[in-house]
Amino acid sequence: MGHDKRRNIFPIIGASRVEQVEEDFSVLNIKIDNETIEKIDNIFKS
Amino acid sequence: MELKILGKTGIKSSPLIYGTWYLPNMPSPNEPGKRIVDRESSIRLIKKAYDLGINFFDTADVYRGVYDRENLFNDFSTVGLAEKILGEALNGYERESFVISTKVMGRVGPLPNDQGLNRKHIFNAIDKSLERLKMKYVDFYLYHAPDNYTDPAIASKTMNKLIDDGKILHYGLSNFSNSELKRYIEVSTELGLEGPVIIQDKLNLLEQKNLSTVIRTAEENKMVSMIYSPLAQGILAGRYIKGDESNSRKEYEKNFKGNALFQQNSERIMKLYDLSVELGIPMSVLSLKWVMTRGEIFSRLSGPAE
Repeated sequence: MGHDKRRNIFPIIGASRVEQVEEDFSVLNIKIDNETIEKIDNIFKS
Repeated sequence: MELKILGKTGIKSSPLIYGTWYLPNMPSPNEPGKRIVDRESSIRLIKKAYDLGINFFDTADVYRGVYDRENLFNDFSTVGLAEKILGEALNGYERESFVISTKVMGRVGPLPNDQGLNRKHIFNAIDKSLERLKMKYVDFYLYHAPDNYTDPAIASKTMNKLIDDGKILHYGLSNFSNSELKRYIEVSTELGLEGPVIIQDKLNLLEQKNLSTVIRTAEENKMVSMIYSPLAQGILAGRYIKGDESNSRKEYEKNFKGNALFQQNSERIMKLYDLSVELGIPMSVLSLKWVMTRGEIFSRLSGPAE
């Protein structure tokens, strides 16, 4: 399988402009550490 | 680009799926005030997504590319338009290079059985979808919503027949309650049928309810969760402030004055906006990344998935 990894959650993105797709697509190249994800999670925890 | 394995299916997919519920549109030249799909831009956009590495495309028989609530149940002239455009855009690419999901259930015509999960409609609907897509099969065929009139055993056997006939590879459910999802999983097990392998439901930072219900059930059954509205229709992407001259918080809030979801969460959204500015990372990326990491959270809580 090489570097392929099993994954279960896949977001669907739509767009009305090419720039939107490009910006959303950049999620794949930007590394975000667990601490930041936790920070985001905490902002929205009720 | 690194592809990911879709749950237990073994099929390789891009980590993001391109959705066709909403396509580039423009004012109708014939009907003032009405918007229609910009076919040329839509095709260009889908091809661009493909070129960027997205290989999974989602559609439905009822998707028209624009949302026209007033005519949803009486004008069927544009039913299947998103499927048609998607088929046109991907025509010419190797079928093995992309993955398609489409859906059935919603009303697509005026006749009594032009909707539902009954076998009569599903057999008819899959042929129409394949015709519009110009494809021999779809990878995933989803019930778009529950149908209280069709027995889950009949609906499940119908999907298994389509698998046997080679018209679909797998099936799934969208917008079902947690108990309904569990029922469908149980029925297929009881009958020795191939069960659903995928769900499609809403999840974003502002709407997390499904995380503890259907998405949890899907995870427990090693099913794939396709997530719609991960950016809460742009609210979590901060898209509405782009193009604004001042790009200020004041302007941001002004643009969302009438949006209930924004109003209820404005403070949190502004905190995410501030974090985005601090890190120099778009809000959309932070929001999508959060969604994408939910699977890992489940894995950590329940141990390795495999």
